[in-house]
Amino acid sequence: MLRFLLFGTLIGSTFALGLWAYKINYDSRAADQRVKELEKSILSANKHFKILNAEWAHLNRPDRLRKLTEYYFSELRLTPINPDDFISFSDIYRGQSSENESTALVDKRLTGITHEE
Amino acid sequence: MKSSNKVKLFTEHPRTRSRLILFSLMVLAGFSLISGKIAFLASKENKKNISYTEREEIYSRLNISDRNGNILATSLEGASAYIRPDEIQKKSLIAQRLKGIFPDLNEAVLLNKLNDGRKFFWLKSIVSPRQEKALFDLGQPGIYFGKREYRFYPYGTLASHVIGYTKVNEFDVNYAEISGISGVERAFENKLAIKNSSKVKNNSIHLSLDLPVQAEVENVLKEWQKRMGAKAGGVVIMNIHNGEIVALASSPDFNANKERGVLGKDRDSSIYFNRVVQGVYEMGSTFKIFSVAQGLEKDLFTLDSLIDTRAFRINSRKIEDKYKFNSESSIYEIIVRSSNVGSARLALMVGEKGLKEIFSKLGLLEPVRLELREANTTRPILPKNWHDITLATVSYGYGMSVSLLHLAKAYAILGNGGFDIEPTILKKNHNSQSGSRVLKKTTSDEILKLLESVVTDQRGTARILGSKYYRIGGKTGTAEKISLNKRGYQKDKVIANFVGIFPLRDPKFVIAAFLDEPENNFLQQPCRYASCTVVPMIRKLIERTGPLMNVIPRHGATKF
Repeated sequence: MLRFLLFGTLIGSTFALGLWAYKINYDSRAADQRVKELEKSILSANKHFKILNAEWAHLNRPDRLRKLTEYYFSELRLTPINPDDFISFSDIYRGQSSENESTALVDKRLTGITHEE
Repeated sequence: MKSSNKVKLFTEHPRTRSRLILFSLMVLAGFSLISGKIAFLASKENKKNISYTEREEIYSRLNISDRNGNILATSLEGASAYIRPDEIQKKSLIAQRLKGIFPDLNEAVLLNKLNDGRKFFWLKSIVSPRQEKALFDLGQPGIYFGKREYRFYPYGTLASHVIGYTKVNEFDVNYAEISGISGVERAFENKLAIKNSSKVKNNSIHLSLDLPVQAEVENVLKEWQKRMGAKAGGVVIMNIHNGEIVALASSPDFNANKERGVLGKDRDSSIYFNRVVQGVYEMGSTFKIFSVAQGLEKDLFTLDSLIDTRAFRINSRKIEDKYKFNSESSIYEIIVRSSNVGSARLALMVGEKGLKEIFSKLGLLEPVRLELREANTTRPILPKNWHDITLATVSYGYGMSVSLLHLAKAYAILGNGGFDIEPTILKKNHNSQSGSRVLKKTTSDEILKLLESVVTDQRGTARILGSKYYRIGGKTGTAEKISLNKRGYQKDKVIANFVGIFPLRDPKFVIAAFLDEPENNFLQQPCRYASCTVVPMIRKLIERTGPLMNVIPRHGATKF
């Protein structure tokens, strides 16, 4: 009786272990496959990323931007940065309203209109 | 009992026993062979899995970017096209259609290739995506595509001489190996050609260049080269303390995206020549400051010392000035008005040893140790002997040729308080001086004073540089070019250059520029001197790039 029980458990556990090993094997293969797929998609995403970066850089060529600022000057009024564009803190706090000389000058530079005081 | 006896008899038989042992050994050997093979296969398969990405990106070069991460060069995947003629039936029709897609192909040659029985030939080493689609749409068997990595420079000609270019070393239907042959592409070949870039986190080499500054410099240089009718020109802006090159432009330049023609055949090869780094020229008066520096260093004179400035002869060669000077002039005046006679006298006072000492301290006797190979192979052309006449002419920049980069480096040492620097094209993380002191602080201070007076003095050769925004100091130089077919110099062809340091309150940058054969025809008389050709360009350059490099204009000097 005892011997029968022992053999029974042994056979049962062998089957269970076999199943478990099979499952692990199967899962690991699936995981491996998934890793491969992910690596592949990461790779292709990286490639896209690289192309987009290159394209973005190409679109931001200084000569192209220069032409665009000229084209859209009436709306954007972008001018090359100039030493005049720097003002000191003391100038900012000099006044608050339109009487402020600095803001008036900046206004004039950007709009070409002199405010009458 | 009987049965056990039988078993005993069986096993005790000596021959049976040895056979059993032999049998079990054979079984063991068989099993170990199988398990060994399993282990081998398993390990091999494992390795194969890991190297998946490696195989994919094995020939991927790193990006090159500027100091703020703007991509200057990158690698993209393209396609090449090849043909197996025996799979094509209507050969003349296909040749005609291919000609339609690639107008630069020769139809007769193509047809010949299709018909002469070869199994395989390359149609194009790289095709654009549009051409690839057109080829694909032909639906013609026998046309195949291969993977091809190619180098893309998004900004075209920008900083082309610094970045350099590449060539395809080795290729097959599914890969191409690229290697650099000039500029940064060559200098950092080992770093750029790193395998498996997807696993390298920082997959870019950061240069010290600043894209907006570089673009502005190239823009201004090209404009002034045109305006002055110059053949060529160059500009370099360098951080005076750590030697970072912020902008380096050489004109004419090239677009590395375009396929290069055979050198010297269908296109001018000189566009690949980096005039700032590789071009050595006699620089003229910009050399005058060096003998003054050595004199100050050795306490031979002060800036107020009076020097004889009457024309004189050395071995029957007359040394004279173009402008009239008093019989005696101060060193201050010699530099400000640029006197050759005075400079020659100073050089004779300093002597051969002294002049060589200052040249060696400022790095003018050997190639500049920049990372670029072009710089390392560019030796200054030194005089064969150092007789008195040589000392005199070298002191005002004749008889010795250096590159613009040499000049920039020498002035940087003079202007940064006397510390040795090594120019670099790579971004540095600190702004501190690492070089050892080679000149006294007082010498540097006096030189800066002298350079400023060239700009501020009413008679100074660079007086039009007097900017209301920045305090600038510098020295002009104009050297006649050596005549190629006869002895002597050409009066009407000059190299005009200028080296300046700004802002003078706290020197940050050294800027050096030259124009090859400039002529300013916008004045009453044509003028070739640096004071009317390069100096106006420098003014424009500083006003444009100063704000971009965060150089704050002097306080209270603006309109505000």
